[in-house]
Amino acid sequence: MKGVMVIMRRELASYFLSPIAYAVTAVFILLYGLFFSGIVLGFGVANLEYTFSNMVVVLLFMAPLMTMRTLAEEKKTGVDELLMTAPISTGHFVFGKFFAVCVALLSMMALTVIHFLIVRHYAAPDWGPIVTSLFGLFLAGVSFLAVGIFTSSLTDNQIISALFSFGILLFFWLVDWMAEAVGGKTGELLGNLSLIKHYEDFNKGILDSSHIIFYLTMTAIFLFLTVRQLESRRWK
Amino acid sequence: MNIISVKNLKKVYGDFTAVDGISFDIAQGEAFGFLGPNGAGKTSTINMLTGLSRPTAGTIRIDGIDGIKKIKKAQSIMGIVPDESNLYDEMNGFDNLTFCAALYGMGKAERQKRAAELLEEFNLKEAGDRPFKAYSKGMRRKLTIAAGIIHRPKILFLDEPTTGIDVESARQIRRLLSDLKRQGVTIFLTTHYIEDAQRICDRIAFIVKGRIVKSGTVDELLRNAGQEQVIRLTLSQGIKGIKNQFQQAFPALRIEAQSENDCLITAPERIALAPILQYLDSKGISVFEAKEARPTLEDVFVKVTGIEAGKPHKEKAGEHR
Ligand SMILES: Nc1ncnc2c1ncn2[C@@H]1O[C@H](COP(=O)(O)OP(=O)(O)OP(=O)(O)O)[C@@H](O)[C@H]1O
Ligand SMILES: [Mg+2]
Repeated sequence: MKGVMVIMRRELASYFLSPIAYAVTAVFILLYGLFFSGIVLGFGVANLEYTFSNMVVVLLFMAPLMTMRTLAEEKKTGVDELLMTAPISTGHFVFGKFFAVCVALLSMMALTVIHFLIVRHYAAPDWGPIVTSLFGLFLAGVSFLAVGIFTSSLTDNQIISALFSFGILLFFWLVDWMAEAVGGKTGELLGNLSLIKHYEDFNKGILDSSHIIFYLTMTAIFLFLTVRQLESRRWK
Repeated sequence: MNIISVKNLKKVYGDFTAVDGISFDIAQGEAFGFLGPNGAGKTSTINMLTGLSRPTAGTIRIDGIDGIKKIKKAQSIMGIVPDESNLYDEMNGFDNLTFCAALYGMGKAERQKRAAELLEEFNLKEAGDRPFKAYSKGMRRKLTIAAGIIHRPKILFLDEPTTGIDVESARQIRRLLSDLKRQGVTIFLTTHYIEDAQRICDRIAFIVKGRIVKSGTVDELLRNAGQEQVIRLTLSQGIKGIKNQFQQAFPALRIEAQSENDCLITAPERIALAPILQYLDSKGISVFEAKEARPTLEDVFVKVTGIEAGKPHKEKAGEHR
């Protein structure tokens, strides 16, 4: 577990030293502010539901940018050798990287607190859906990050890593429409893979374990694939 | 006790065999050198020993641990200095060192103390807070070595530690390796410089095209190469005119004229000098100097490999891949 912390601490330090961190955070907050003022202030509803469903899409674009460096950059500069020859298991190593980007995501989301204070000042919002939405947003974000970490392990090129994770995430996003077109049992099966569909209930203030399990499973699968991918480098 | 024991180690990339079934043992505290030309399989071997790449076949035991199945355990006693730098460009020297120490589980206070010590020892104190990417080649090499030893490894692997750095830094590195050896650290290094091998290593293996073609202690290798006794005479004049006569007078010896006033005398056994001196004196030639010409490790290397060490060798026609 000590190894996880060592990797995580370094990763966080380097993340917050990179301009990408600030650019991503700035765009995230800006868009959040826009949706917030457009929807909440514009329509005058003390309801953050719509803001959040837009933010899932924003995260879908931000997560690949937050993770593209994590493994690709090290492969390019040869630092991966240092980590592969250190007595830290590949699993701990990947967890360290993953927790670091999760903390980055959390810190970014923490900045949205100011908006709740605004809402609270002017109205008495229903806190239930806000908390579940926020939780859902984080959970979805975490699974996006896992996808991003995986694609970063595939290449030494950050841009390609980001493109691959966009590709994978967009597929899971759009699979819903595909499901409708296909129809029948297959359609139903495909529909269950939809990232957006699983988010809807969180937005309504419903905590359904099947959705939580969906995001956690997705996270676990992509982290597992990352570990396998890194270990397979030894076979080369 | 053998701290490293390698048997029939093999690495195949696609259909190309880079390491072709090598076996060797390294005793605790020994300095062992892999000497060979470019592409011989030195880095491939180190990579398998350090867990960077998996052997196609063969076994590795490191300090009694299975070096293939239990590689993570074995890695905790290793220090590794790869042929190219493996540190973070954007981090400064000090942070790179403490991070490496942390990877091996070293506590905060100790790793900071040790990093400061090493920076001092390698004359990198001022550069300690500069980012690694701003380092010169020699500085990078030194910091990479410092990072490899910060956790006080029992075995140190170095892939061409002195390549691409100036004479003074190379000397400093050799001195450091000698110190580490004295402290009982086992050293495995690869190099194409005979000088490194001869100065640092107790034992050397020549590796060519993935095979160990000869190995032994430096003395053994030299002795084997020098079965013949060779003496170089420096004379007052050349022996060209009397060469045949001279040779007939001493049929057991092989006499060759070298440069203008030198000649080489070779024999399978030790050479008695008095009769030779007398003979030359009788011909009116003075002998100013008689010197034993010892074979160098380079001679041995050239002899067993047919390759000029440390120089790019010409590929024979038809051998190009
Ligand atoms: N990943 C790889 N894929 C394919 N071939 C490889 C790979 N790594 C090394 N080789 C080949 O294996 C052979 C041995 O390479 P290796 O790097 O071990 O040589 P070396 O002795 O370290 O040489 P040098 O002195 O140049 O560092 C070379 O012919 C090289 O092209
Ligand atoms: Mg090499």
